[in-house]
Amino acid sequence: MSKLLTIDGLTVSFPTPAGGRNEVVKRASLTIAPGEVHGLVGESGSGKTMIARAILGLLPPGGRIDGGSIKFDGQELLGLDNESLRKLRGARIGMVFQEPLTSLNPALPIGKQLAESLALHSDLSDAEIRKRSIEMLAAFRMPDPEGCLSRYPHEFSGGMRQRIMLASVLLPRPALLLADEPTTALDVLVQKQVLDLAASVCRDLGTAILLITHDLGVVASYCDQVTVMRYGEVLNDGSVEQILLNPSDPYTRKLLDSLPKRGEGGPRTTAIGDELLRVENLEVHFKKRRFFWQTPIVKRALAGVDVSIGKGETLAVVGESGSGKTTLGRTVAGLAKAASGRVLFDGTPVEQGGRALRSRVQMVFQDPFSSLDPRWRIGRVVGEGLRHTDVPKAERAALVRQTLVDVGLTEQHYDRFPHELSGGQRQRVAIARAVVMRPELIIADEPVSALDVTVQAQILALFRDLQVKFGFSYLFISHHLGVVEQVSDRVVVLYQGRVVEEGTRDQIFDDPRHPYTRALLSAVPDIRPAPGGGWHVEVRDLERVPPPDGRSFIEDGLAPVDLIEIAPGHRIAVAA
Amino acid sequence: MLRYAALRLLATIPTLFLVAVIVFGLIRLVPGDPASIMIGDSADPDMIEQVRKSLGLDKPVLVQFFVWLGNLLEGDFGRSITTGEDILPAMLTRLRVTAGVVLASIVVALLFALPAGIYAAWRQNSRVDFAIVTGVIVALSVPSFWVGILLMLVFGVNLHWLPVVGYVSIGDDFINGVRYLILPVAALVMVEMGTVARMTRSSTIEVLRLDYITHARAKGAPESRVLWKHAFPNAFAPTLTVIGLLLGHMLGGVAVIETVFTLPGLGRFLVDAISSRDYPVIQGCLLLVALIRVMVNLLVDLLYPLFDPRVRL
Amino acid sequence: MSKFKRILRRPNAVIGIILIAIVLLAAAVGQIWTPHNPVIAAMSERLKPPSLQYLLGTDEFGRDIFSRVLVAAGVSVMVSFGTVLMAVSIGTILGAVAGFVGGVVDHLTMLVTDALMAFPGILLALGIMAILEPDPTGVILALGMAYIPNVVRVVRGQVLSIREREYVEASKVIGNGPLYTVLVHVIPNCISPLTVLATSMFGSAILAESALSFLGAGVAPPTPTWGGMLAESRAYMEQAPWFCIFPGLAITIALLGINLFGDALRDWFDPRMNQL
Repeated sequence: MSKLLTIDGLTVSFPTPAGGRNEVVKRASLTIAPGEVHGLVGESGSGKTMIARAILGLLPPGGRIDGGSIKFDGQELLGLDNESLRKLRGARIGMVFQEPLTSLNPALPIGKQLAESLALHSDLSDAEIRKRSIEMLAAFRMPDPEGCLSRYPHEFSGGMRQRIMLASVLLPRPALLLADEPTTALDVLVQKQVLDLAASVCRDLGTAILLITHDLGVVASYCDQVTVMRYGEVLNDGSVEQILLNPSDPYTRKLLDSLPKRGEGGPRTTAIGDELLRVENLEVHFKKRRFFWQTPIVKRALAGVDVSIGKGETLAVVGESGSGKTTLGRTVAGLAKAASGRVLFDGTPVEQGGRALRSRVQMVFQDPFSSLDPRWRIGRVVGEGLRHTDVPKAERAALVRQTLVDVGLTEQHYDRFPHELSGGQRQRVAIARAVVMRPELIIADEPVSALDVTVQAQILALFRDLQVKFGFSYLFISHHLGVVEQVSDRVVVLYQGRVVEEGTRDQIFDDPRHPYTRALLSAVPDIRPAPGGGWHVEVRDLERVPPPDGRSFIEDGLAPVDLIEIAPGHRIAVAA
Repeated sequence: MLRYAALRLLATIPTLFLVAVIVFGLIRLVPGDPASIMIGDSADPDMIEQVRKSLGLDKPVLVQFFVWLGNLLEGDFGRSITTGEDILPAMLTRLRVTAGVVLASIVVALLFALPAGIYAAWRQNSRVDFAIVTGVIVALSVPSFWVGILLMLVFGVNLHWLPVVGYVSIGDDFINGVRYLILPVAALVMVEMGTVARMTRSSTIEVLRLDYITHARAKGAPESRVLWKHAFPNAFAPTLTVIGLLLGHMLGGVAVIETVFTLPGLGRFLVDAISSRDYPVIQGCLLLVALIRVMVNLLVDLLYPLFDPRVRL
Repeated sequence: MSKFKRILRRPNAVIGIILIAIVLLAAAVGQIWTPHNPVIAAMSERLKPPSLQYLLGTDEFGRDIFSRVLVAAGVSVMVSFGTVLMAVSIGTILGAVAGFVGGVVDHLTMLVTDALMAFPGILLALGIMAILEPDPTGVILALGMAYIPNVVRVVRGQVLSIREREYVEASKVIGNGPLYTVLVHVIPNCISPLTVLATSMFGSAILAESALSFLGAGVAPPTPTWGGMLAESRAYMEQAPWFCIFPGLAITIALLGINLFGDALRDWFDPRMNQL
């Protein structure tokens, strides 16, 4: 079969501060057949994005192609003059980017942005372009496609914008779509919707896709062929069955091994003790106003939330953005104020506990790049909280060094600055800062979502080891179901500020009852080890099941709910 | 839109009230008795008493303030102590001169600085960019009143091409009016060009880095289209804010230029009032300039959404 | 400090530093020694063109312009330094409090700031000079008052953005009080933008000081100031063009040095912005 795109021995380099050049893509080769969906997988720094940029001749400033060839439809793209390249861009090769919030021009209405590439590359009349734009938006199931044309990007949600982006790129019916992490910034349910739509429209148009992603689940469920990259080199490529599910390459195996899975690290060795944290009927509001004499607009972030955590237990809180999961963690940590309800720690309301209680609850934040004061050395960062403890001054430095070792760093890191560390190392420092206080509860807010999958696996293992060693309880907040499945004892599912389902890990993952939980679990393709060696993709398609006793589920997060118990410890929300 | 405009207009009221308090308070802070300072220590006590009465200085401070404020709202800015003329009409006549110089110089500055800033951003780190950046730094480093003096020296004193001192209204004699404006405008325009070019360049650089620019290129848009259709409207929004600030700033900077070229503008009115301790005129000029500045900023805020639809109205 | 070395590799920064050094040196020398007496008139020597005896010529009272430029450099540097010191110290405190306390305090601070910023800085300073003594202290107070609102705005903006960062939240979780957090985590992280602001403010203070003296509202004669000399020179433009050239050149050299250095500093602190 003739190839649509053939990349051969491509090398891309960028200047280094020292004056040399750093090769971010090294003699990479890959081929894509017409209509094929080709996954390009790798962790950060693997060079996967630069390959897509190089195809279009749109490398960031400083980038240079040092060698190789890129043939598209039989035509060599490298060395092509700007004008000929420009005629290919948009018309024959389209590209969508990761961040839907910044990839549409905020100053132009949607209609103009949709029409742009057709107007540039065809002689179609304005009316015809308009008609096709509306059809394409309809194909992407945009509500009121005609009305969309005169609206501006900021009026749409992230998922909608990404659908608009895809519609605008696919409108000239390109032969190849370069999609750079197109759904990484989206919630899982939206991600599935967008990818399903994109795949089906591309199939209808016969457009091949180069899908650049770090998410192996996405590759396994949408791609035909896959290429794995690391440090700018292509490690192997072939069909998904061949490469991903029965890999011979050690790095690919390591990637797959790093995927979170239930029961990783064997059965728990510590027993769950008495109740440590109790959240009762918690309600949290955000207020916003533009002028100080105006009455503020109140937005409810959490409503009627009850949660409890036992000593040594890991409670995972799952939900999409806007579900209130972060607010729950911040309220327990004392960073947000409850409008009503109580947060009891070891029987004492947290707001009355003062500093003594503060040090018993610690927190690990999502972004390891902004959670450490850039001007402080690591030792000082980790030891900062000790001034509120009764650890004698003379022993503090030794304790900090020991804690650095406990979290998998070395004593040499004591005098380093945060910017000298990698993302994974910084997250270890953030964990050390919590651990050094010997708290009873650690709130971890998306602690691994900014990390690559192999680093993520190491940090999750660290959380488990520390729990075994020190007996911490965790309030583990995550949007990632795989991660939750690996770390949790019990799970709480939040939706629009309410608990919709609560139960043990096995209850939630094996027998989910609430339609929202079921939808979440259906949206995520799982890659699991196959019994006979290798891996297989598990896509669940959970039908709705009616709630017991003739009650009904509610769809609107603001309507009142009852939590009913359907099995010991397993509760679901139904209409009150 | 109208509701938003009305709200924003309302929001300027506390600011303007405070402006009035500051201007009023400034004069109360004069050490010693304002009346005797104004007419000199040697004046006889009766005369001082008379000035005190005419200024309302014999009443409690709060009463004085509200009487003064009430008069202001009726358009009564009082009378000049030195010339006795009614201050508001006197200021408005002089404002026309000032506004002419400032607006003309800003238009000229935009004409050159916007394209220069955009080009420099587009060809960042090129030779032309380096030349523009260097030019900007030089333009911002040469004081406008010195430029004015040098221009007078070259074009007036040595070459005799243009008049160096005085003013003819464009309304009375267009050709001569323009001749009198050329040097003052040229002196002001440098710093304005520097400011606008610098801002345009940096905001365009910011915008050119964004995904939607790469996306426009990936759609096959030619560079000219990328620059003017996609980058410029977005880069112009922050530049607009700077132009608004600049306009207000120039109301101050022009005072020096008016002194150099002895233009009968608002700035020189204020400077003369300060040297003659004509407090009602000082108050009036400060108030008028602050009012104009607040209104210019308001106008910029109201225009902003045209360039950035994300800003809600 | 390798980053600082990288600054030194930029020709603009080096030129800036050299020019600043020349101005500071001139200011220091002018305080100790001048070739001629800068204030006593010598009518026989009036309006002499530049020569070996009078490097930059003499003014209408026969005073050596070079000597006066040196002394005026001292006045300018002192006034500008005092202005920046006053504006930065007071403005930082007000801005930090407004940004961190928020609520009514913030609203009131911003209201006053907005009101003060409604006046063009130079006019506000002119107005304040109407009630102050025309000596260096008076000019510092007037310019300082005019510049405080700028600092308040920048610091408040920084504090608002920094207090949302996770390391500030982390400080609260550890059990640190709000005051400790501001002093230890927030203010030190405002230093970079403050340094850039202070540098550019230093330049604009020099310019404003000259403008005030030019308008006759700055440090009063017989103390020489660059602006004052320019004002006097206007009447002798035809007879003594050097008189109006050199004081202006001195201002330009000082501003050029500070602007070149300030831009390099901005690149150093925030290379991504790469603003000019």
